[in-house]
This record gives sequence, structure tokens and C-alpha cells, in this order.
Amino acid sequence: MELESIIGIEIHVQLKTKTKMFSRAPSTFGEESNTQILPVDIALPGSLPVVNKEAVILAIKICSALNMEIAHTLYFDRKNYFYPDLPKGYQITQQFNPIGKNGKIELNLDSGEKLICTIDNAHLEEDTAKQLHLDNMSFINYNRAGIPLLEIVSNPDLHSGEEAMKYVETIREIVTYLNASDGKMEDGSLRCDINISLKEKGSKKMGTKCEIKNLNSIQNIKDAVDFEIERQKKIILSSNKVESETRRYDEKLKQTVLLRKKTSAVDYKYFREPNIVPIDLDDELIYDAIHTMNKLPSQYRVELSKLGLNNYEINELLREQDITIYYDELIKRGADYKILWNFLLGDIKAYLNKNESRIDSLKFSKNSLVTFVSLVKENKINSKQAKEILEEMLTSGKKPDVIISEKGIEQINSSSEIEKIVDVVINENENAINEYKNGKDHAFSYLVGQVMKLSKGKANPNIAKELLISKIGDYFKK
Amino acid sequence: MIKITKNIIRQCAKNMMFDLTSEEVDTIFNEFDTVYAQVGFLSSIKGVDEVEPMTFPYKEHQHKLADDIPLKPLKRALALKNSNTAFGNQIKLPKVIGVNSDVDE
Repeated sequence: MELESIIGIEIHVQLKTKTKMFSRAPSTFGEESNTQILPVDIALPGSLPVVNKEAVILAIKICSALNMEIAHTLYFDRKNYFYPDLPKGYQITQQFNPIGKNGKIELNLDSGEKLICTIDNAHLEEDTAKQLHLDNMSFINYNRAGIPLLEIVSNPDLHSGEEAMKYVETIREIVTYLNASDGKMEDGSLRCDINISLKEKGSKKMGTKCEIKNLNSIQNIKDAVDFEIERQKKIILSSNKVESETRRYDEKLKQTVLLRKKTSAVDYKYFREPNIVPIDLDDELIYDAIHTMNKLPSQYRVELSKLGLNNYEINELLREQDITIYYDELIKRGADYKILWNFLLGDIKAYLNKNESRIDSLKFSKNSLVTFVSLVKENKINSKQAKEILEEMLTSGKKPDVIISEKGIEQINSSSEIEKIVDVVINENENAINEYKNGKDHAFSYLVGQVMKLSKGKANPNIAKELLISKIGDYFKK
Repeated sequence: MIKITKNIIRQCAKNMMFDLTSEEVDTIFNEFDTVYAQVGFLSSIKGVDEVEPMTFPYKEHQHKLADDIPLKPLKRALALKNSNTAFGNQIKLPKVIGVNSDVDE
């Protein structure tokens, strides 16, 4: 029997607002417990919810980036459940009229193939309080209660761990580039629940699904989904039935483990939230939200590909938005795309990581880096000199030409000057020349090294190589 | 339909963390006679069960959204005062998550 896995994902994105979804309590992360609360958040009698404008704007931006139809009137509903993480006894959500529906995104798979994943809806709601469960008691911190969430619900279009991972990664990239969320899975500002079921290939009958919760990294998504597919496959192929369960991923065991069985569907008795009358959004608000969106990763991807970067290089660059923006600006100022990528993602990023600093804290100007890249491109400095100059730029912020004149670093590009050095090297290294003649390539590298040594690293290595080849040819003719 | 008693009214008030005087309980209790009469009248209308429930009686939409500017939050001591089981900076409750619970964490 050939089985097919069906995967749908719900992503909760915490929106990057200063205040909560329905109250103006601060929504700052990491503050002391129970200090970010207003009466609405703990359901004190007489307090009423008012919808946060910024949360709506950020939701519109995300929905637009996900190619969704955007609702022009907002309706909210109550999801009723009795539990202390929301003291009202219900969560305010958008069950029946989500702010966005019918979206789609393109996923770039490692194979180079592209996959379209459709999205059913995106709806605004409020986060719940953070709970800490100990042996026989629970502790509640209401700071998180009421923080704006956008829940993005995919259709079951995904079929593997890689596809699930790429989907979440792409959504995370979009919301962080829009500056709509921190998108930090480890801090819980982006959380996902994954539903997985298996069915016979070609069959319309869906299998029993299991839900995986509490995934805290992109890599864990792939590992958890791949494990769960294999687990269900084994159950089905041994003629047993998959049970409806909520599971979590255990990083140490590298497997999903049972959290609880889903005995029956919970009836949340949804109904329209009577405390929020429908809100007609001004056309101007929607227009402004869409037209002030940051450039999206997909737009960068097209441009970077046209420049000549390959998929790996593009993915590495897009990992950090501030570095992408920096790169984009330097390209506009005329920097060579490849040389810039190498230094930016190599030495400069390593320096930033080591010093735990960000790209906007670099001591040198953007124009200095453009000049530096030009010097490398025009072979005015060799790679060894380039490293030395860049290191000095990073620590002192000096311009490359100042460093060159201060240190006396300048490449010798004069063929006649290099030729004199090459002649000396050939005269003094007969053995190496013979080894090279006998097919030992390392002997040639040695000879180049000798030229560089004699020139104190200043000779243009390309000219040195050309002259060495020509002179060695002459040497044997003699 | 549940018959509302004075005890139910007192208990509801208590659940919402305030007390009512006997006069206030009497006032609310007496208002239920009117409520029962109105509900009885509405129930007697033919076909009323087939009408979709309405949340808002009129098509009354608004444009108001809150500015994203924080207000000063409640002082923690004041917030925690609403629970009689505060412990340190947290609200303490008996553990309610069970192995077979369907409630989302």
C-alpha cells in the first residue's frame, strides 16, 4: 500500500505592537511577571475591549504579502472555554470573518523546485497568559494575555518535513521582513501547530490526524514531521489504527511523544463578540498599509538571482534583513555583487558575530566599502592585502586609501618589476621547476609563494603566475 | 428556563467580585418578572425559533480603532489583589492540566 502524508500548519504570529490587541497595556516581552496588565486583560467588570489600530495595519501587511483577500469590515467572535489563561472565560478571535482569506505563497525547495502552498485564512486574536505547571500547582503570568496574534491557517498542501519546514521558514521570513513580528520561535513570538495524517495514495478518504505542538526551531519542524510520518506509517502498515492525539517533539529523543489523546472535539460555542461592533476599515488605512510595506524576501530573491547569485548565496544573504538591505544599497552604489557577497557574508559577518554587534554599528561608511570592493575588483590589492585592509577598516573605521598609504600596502602591478622578482625565483629554485615539469602542481604554488614572499606580498598574483608560466617555458627551451 | 432566585443573583455578584445590598438584590430580582414576561411574549410568536440570532439590533458599524500608545499598567500588587491565591509575583492555582485534557496549553 502506498501512503501519502497530508500536512496542514497553523502559525501564531505575535504582532510587533507596543500595546495589546484589545487594551492599551504595554506588550513588552521579558518584563517582570504580572506588570503589563490593564483591567481588560484580567476581565475586570466594566472594562471593554477596543481594537488596536497598529495590529490591524500589521495584519493587513502580512495578508497582502500572503496574497490574500483582505476584509474591509472587521468582525470578532468569542471562543468560549473555561480556563485560567484568559480570565474572561473566552478568547476574542475571528472565527467567522477572518481579516484575510484565500492566500498562497511560493516555497523554494532545496532541489530548486518551487511549490505553491495555499492558505485558508489569517485571523486576528489575543494571546493567552503564560502558565508554569509544577507538580500539583500552576502559576499564571498575565503579561502575555491579550498580546495581538495573527493566526495563519494553511490548507493541507504539504507532504514532507522539508515542505513543512520551508513553509514556516518562508512565513517567518515574510513577517520579520515586514517588521510585523520578531518571528523568534525560541521566544514564542512565532509558534506553530502541525497537523499530520496519512492516507492511501489517490484515496479521497482522509486518515486520522495527529497534532504536533511546541516546536521551537525551524529544524525541529522538519525532524518532527519526518519522524511523525514514519511513526504513523509503521502503525498503518502493521494494520493498526492511528489515534487522534496531541504530541510534542522531544529534541533529545528525536521523536514525537504523546501529550494527550483527543477523546472528543471541544465545542467552543462560538458567537459574535457583542462588545465590539463591526469596524469598517477606511480605504486609506488599507491602502497606506499595503503601500508602506518593506520589500519582501521574494522580491529580493528575483533581483538577486538576476544579479547572478545562486540559490545558496541568496538564502544565506536573506537570513538577516539588515544585511540584505545593506547589500542592496551597496549594489546600487556600484559594488561588485560577488566580491561584496564574499566579504560581507565572510569577514564582516564573522566580525559582527564575534562582537555581537549589528551591521548598522560598522565603523566605516558604505562608500568606504564600495571603494574597498573596487580595489579588489580592479586587482589593485591582492586577497592577502584585502584581508589586512578590511580588518583595519573594521577596527578603526579608516578609509581603505588611508590604510593603504599608512601601511604602505600597495600592489605591484608593473610587469617589469614583477619580472625581476620572477627571474630571481627561477634562478634560485631549480629543483621546484623540475618537479613542476614532472607534473607536481604543488611546485608551481610554491614558486608563486616565493614571488609573493620576495615582493613582501605586494606582487599582483595573477601577473606573477602568468610571468612564471612564460619564464618556466623559456627556461626549458634553453 | 432556569428560574432566577435571589441566591443566584448574590452568587453571580460574588463571582464577579462584588457584593450587593439586600435592596439591590430585590431590585434585580423584581426586574426578572418583566424579563420573563417579555421572553414569554417573544416565544409565543410563530416561527421565532427559525430566526437567526442577532448580536446587534441595527447595522451600526464604527471606524474607531485604538492608537498603539501604551497606558500606565496596573501596579502589580493591585493586579494580584484580584486573586486570593497570589504567590510571589504570580497567581497560584491548582494544577488543572491532566494527561487526557483537551484544553490547549
